[in-house]
Amino acid sequence: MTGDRLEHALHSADPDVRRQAVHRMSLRPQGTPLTQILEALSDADWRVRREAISLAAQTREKDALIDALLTRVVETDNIGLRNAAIEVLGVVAQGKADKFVEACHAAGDGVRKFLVEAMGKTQDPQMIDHLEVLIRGSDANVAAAAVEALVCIGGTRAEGLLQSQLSTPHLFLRVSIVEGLTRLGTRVPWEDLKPAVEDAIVRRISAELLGRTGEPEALEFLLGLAVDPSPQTSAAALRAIAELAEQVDTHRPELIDRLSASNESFRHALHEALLHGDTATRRGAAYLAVLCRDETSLEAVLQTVADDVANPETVEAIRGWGPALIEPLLLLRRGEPRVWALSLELAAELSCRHLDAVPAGTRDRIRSLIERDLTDVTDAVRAAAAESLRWWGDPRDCRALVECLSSSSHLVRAAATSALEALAKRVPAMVEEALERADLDGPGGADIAHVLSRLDSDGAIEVLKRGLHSRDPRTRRAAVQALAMANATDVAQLIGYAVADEDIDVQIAAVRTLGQMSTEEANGPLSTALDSPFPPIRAEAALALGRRVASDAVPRIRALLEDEEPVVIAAALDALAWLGDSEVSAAVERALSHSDDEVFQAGLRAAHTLSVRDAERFVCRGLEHSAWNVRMLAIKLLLDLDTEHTRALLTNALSIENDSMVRHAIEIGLLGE
Amino acid sequence: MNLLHDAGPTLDLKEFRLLRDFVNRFCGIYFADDSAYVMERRLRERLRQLGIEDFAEYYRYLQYHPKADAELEAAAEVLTTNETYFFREAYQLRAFTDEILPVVRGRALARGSKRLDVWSAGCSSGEEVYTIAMLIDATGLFEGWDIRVFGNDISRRVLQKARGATYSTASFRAMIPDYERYFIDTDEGRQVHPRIRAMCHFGHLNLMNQRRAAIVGHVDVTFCRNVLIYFDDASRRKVLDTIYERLNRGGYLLLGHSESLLQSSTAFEIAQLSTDIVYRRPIPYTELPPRGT
Repeated sequence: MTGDRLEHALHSADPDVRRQAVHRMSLRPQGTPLTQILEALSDADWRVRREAISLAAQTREKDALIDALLTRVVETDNIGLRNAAIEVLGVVAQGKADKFVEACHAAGDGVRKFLVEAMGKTQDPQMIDHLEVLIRGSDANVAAAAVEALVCIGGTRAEGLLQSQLSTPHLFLRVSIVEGLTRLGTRVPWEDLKPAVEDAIVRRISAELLGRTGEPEALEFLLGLAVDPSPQTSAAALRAIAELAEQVDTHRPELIDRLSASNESFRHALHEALLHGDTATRRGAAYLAVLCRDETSLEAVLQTVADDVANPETVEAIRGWGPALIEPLLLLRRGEPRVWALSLELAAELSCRHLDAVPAGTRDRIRSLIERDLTDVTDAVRAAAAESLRWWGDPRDCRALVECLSSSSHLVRAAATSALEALAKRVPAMVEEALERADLDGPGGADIAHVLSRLDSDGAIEVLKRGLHSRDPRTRRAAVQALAMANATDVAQLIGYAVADEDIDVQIAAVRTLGQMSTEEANGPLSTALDSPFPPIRAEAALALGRRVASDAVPRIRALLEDEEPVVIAAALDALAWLGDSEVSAAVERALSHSDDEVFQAGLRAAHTLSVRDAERFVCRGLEHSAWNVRMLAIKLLLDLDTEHTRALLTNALSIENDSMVRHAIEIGLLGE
Repeated sequence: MNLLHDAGPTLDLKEFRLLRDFVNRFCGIYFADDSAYVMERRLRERLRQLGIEDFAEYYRYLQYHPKADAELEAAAEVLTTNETYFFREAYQLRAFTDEILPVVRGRALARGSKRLDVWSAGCSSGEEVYTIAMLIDATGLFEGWDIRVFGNDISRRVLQKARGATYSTASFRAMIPDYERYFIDTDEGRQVHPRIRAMCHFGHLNLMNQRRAAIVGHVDVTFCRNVLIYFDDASRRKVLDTIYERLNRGGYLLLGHSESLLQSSTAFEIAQLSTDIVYRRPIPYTELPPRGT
C-alpha cells in the first residue's frame, strides 16, 4: 500500500480500516513521521491506539517522541491518548529519568500521577530515586501512583523502599503498599508486617503476605480471615495458611494442633473451598484438611488427588495421618471409582506400614477387597488392587498378577509389574513359575520382560531370549534391555541381530545394550550400526563405541563429522573426545560455528578435554550463545576448569546475563557452593 | 500415572525448561517454574512406555527420533488439563442464547442461508459442544436449519470420550434441570440424546496449527473458554489469529470469564451484551446498517 493510500486509510470512517492502516505503517522500513504516530495514538478506537503503541515503539525519533508524549500526558483531556502515551513512554523512555523529573516539576497537582504511572511502566530502576521523593510527599494520589510504579519496576531496592513505608499513617497508602508487595511476591518479615495488619481493612488484603512470613503468630490473623463471608478473602486466607504450614518446619506440630482445634466455621470454609474453589485454593485446602485430620473432607481431599490438583506435600501428609485413616478410607467404597482406587491403595499401604497397629480383622478385610477388586471393571480400581499387592502380595497372587499383565490398560499392567517386581525379591521361584506360560506376544510382553530381568535365573534368561522373537516390537525392545539388566552372558550375538531389527526402537535398545557390554564381540554389530540409515542409530553407535574406547572405530567415527544430521555430528564429536582423537581440536572449531545447539554443545564438551589453554579459549565462546542451556553448559565447564581466567570470564558474564537461572548458576559457582 | 507414588526419573530445572519450551512451541501450553512437578509426574508414564530412563534422553527423543512427532502429541495429551462440565458459566450461555443466536440467525437469513456453524475450540471431553447444541435446539429458532457444532482438541483420548457422549456425575455439577430431557440413562452413565449428537462433530486439531485449522471452515460463533489460560502470550496471539481467520465477519468469540484479549489482539471488537462482554470480528463499516435501525 502506498503512503497516500495509507494516509487515506488512516482517515477512514471504518475503525478496522484505520487499525489495519496503522498496522501496515509499522511494517514500513522507512519508519513513520511523528505527526502520524501521534495522530494514531489519539484515535477514538482502542484497537487503533493499541496498534499505534506498537508503531510508536519502533520510532527513530525517540527523544522527540518522548518530549511530545510527556507534554500530552499532562495536557490532554483525551483519556485514550493519555493512556496510550503512558504505555508508549513505558516502552521507549528507559534511561530518561531526568526528563520525567523535569516534567513532574512542571506539571500541575492533578496530572503528576500520570507521569508517575509512566515512570513505573518503564521498569527502569533509575526512576526509583525520584519515586522515593514522591512516595514521601504530601500528595496522596501521587504517592499511591509512586507505589504502583515501584511495583512495576520491582527488584530488591523497590521492594525495600515499599517495605520501609509499611508503617505510613495513611491508610490508603498502606493498602496500596500491601497490595503491591503481595503482587511482587515479597516475603515481608513478620515484625514489619505485624503493625500494618493491626488495622482490619489492611488485614483483609494481607492474607498472602501473612502466609509468606513463615511466622506461626500469623496463623491467628489468617484463621480469622478464613471465615470471612467473602469467598475471595476466605480462599486467599486458606491458601496462605497452607503456605504458612509448609514453611514452619519446627513449629508445624503446634500449627497442626491449632488447626485441629479450629471451629466449625473454619471447617465449613475448608470444605467449601475443597468443593468449589479454584485449583490453587483446592490445593491449599486439601493440604490443610489433611493436616487438621478432617475426616469429613477426606473424600473431597482424595478427589483433589484424583484430579491431579493436590501437591506432593498433601500426599505425604495423607500418609502421615497413619493407621487412624484406614477405617475412614474403607468407608469410601461406594464413592467415585478413582477416589475408591486411591482409598484402597492407601489403606493397603498404611495397614502394611503400621502392621502392629491394625487389627487382624481390618487386615483381612483389606486383603479380601484387594482380591475382589483385582477383577474390577474399572481400570483405576483394578490398577489400585494390583498396586496394593506390592504391600500385601504373597505367592498365591502371582497368577492373578500375571493375568493383569494381559490387560489392555497400561495403568493395570504398570501396577501389576510393580507388584510382581516386589514379589520377585521375596519369592522369585513362584514369580518365575507364574511367568512361564505368560504370553510374550500379548499387550504385557514388555512388562513380562521387565519382571523377568529381576529374577536373576537361567530360566528367566531363556524366556527373555524367547522374547527376542516376539511379534510385538515393544516386547523385543524390552527383552533386549532386560537381557542386559539380567547380566546375561553370551548374548552379544543375539542382541547384535537386533541391530538389524525392522523396528528402530529395538535397534536403538540393541545398540545401547551392546555399548554397555564388556565383550569384544559387541564391537562388530556396533560398527555396522554406524552405517544405519537412521540418524539416531548412527549417533547411538558412535557414542557406544566411544564409551567402549574402541580406537579401531576412530576413522569411521571421524567420517560422521560430515554427516548431515546434527545429532550424528554431536555424537561423533563426543565419541572422538572420549577416544582422545588428535583431530578433536579442528572438529571443535567447526562445531562452534555450527548453527545447531546440540552440535555447539558437543563442541564445548569436546573442548573441555583439550589442554587448559585451548579449553578456556573455546569454552568461553559458549557464554555468548543465544540459547540459555548452551550458556549453562559453558558455565559448568568453565567452573570445572576453575582458573583465574575462567573466574574472570564468569564474573564478566554475570554482569551481562539476563536469565535468572543462568545468573544463579554463575553466582553459586563463583561462591564455590 | 500413579498419583500416590512419587517414584521414577526426576526432572531437574534445566530439563524442565527445555521440555517446557519444546512442548510450548508445539501446542502453546505453558508451565510456570512452580509446576515442574506436574510435568515430571505426567511425563513419567511416557518415559516408562518408551523404555526411556531419564528426561534428558526423552528430550533427545523428542528432538531427533523418527517418531518424535507422534511422541510430542502423546506428551501434549498427558500434559493438557481436561476439566469441563455441562452448562459451565451459565450467565455467558444466557448471553449466547438470548442475544448472540438471534443476531447470527438474522444475519444468516439475510444472506439467504439456513445454516449455523459454531466452533468449540479446545472442547475437551465434549460437554461444551453438547451444551451448545442443546441450547441452540432449545431456543426453537433453528427448526429445519443445518446446525453444525464442531469441537476440537489436541487429546485423542478426550475426543474418544466426547464421541461416546456418555458422562458420569462430575460432568453434571452445573446441570440445568430443564435440559435433563436431552439425556438418556444407560449402564455406563447418562448419554446425550441422538438428535443432539447428530448436530455435533469432533476433530483432532492442534490450535497452534494454523494451516490445519482450515478444517473448521468459517463459523458464526467460537467458544474458546478456559483454554488460552494455559498458553503463553505468543501462543495465545497465534491462536487468536486463527480464531479470527475462522470467524465470519460479525462472528462472535466467547472466552472464559477470567480471560481478556485486550493485551493479545486488536483484531476483535468488544461487544457489550446485557449479561456479558464478548468479542466480535468487526463487520466492514460499509456493511453496517444505518444508525438507528
